[in-house]
Amino acid sequence: MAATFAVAMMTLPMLGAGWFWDLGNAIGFAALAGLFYSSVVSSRPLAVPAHQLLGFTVLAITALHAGWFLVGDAAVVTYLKTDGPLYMWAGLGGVLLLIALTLHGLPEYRRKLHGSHRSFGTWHAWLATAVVALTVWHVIGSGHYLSQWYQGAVLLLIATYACFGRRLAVGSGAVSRSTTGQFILMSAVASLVFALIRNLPE
Amino acid sequence: MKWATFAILVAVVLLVWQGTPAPVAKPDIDHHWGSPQPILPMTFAHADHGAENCTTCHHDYIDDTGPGTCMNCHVTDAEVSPLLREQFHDLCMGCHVETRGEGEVAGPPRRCIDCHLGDDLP
Repeated sequence: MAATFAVAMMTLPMLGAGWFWDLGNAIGFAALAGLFYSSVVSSRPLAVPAHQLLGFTVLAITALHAGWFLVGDAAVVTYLKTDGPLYMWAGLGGVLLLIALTLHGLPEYRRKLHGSHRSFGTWHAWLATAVVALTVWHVIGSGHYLSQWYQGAVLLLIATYACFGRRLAVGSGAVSRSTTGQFILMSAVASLVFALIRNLPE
Repeated sequence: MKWATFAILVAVVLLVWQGTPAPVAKPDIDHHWGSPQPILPMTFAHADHGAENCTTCHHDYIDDTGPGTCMNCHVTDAEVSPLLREQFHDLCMGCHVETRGEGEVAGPPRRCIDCHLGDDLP
């Protein structure tokens, strides 16, 4: 969570665009942090119900980010028309694929779709990697907070670590496991602080 | 959880397809300035930009690329119009962000509807 928000604050941390815009995007960064976190702690031993709850929470926060803009600003939807920029379509694709990923993890679909747990695990990990890739493309491509190349590079490093360094991360003790409640609380606090810093009265 | 996930899917699809149901200011997406495609209206407070160098925006004053208003080419010209969003966002938002970043007063840097209600709308 801290790493994701830190990347977004590396340049012009005081530049505010209004509470609506900054809070909506802070929620998006919280969702991105949740994606990274749920990926990095998904190595064994895995508490499956907790992982499912975390996954659903990340989906709900992601939907809140997308819905926030689509409901609150009637011009935003034009970003998703056929001539819209690819990085916005990547964001929408990320949301849809995240919905698929969440459903894919539910027992009824998991058993129907896969003959073995190994097959499920492989597919689930690659689906998650695709969601992360689309989301990172959306964040870097839109460039609203990550306008400098080095911010994109750091975010790519974090994403790579989250997707492919999970055994290393958990094994080394570098990442501690948090409950979903703690994650929601951290998301709320980080989002409010992010928006507050950018919209402090001058 | 399964039904909540499906509900989120339906909500996202409906929002993208139908737009917002909320009572918020809505842009009049139309063939503005003779655009062959329906486009968003744009706001530009010319009087607020008097301190800027004219050629920052009016590049045709020095490169002789065409007469008339910005929209003459940027909305209708087949070569330039596909770049409308990218070019205007870079110019307008880029300048507003840069100016605000320097601690000076500038127009809206991000929120779409702040610029896309059109000059003749509230």
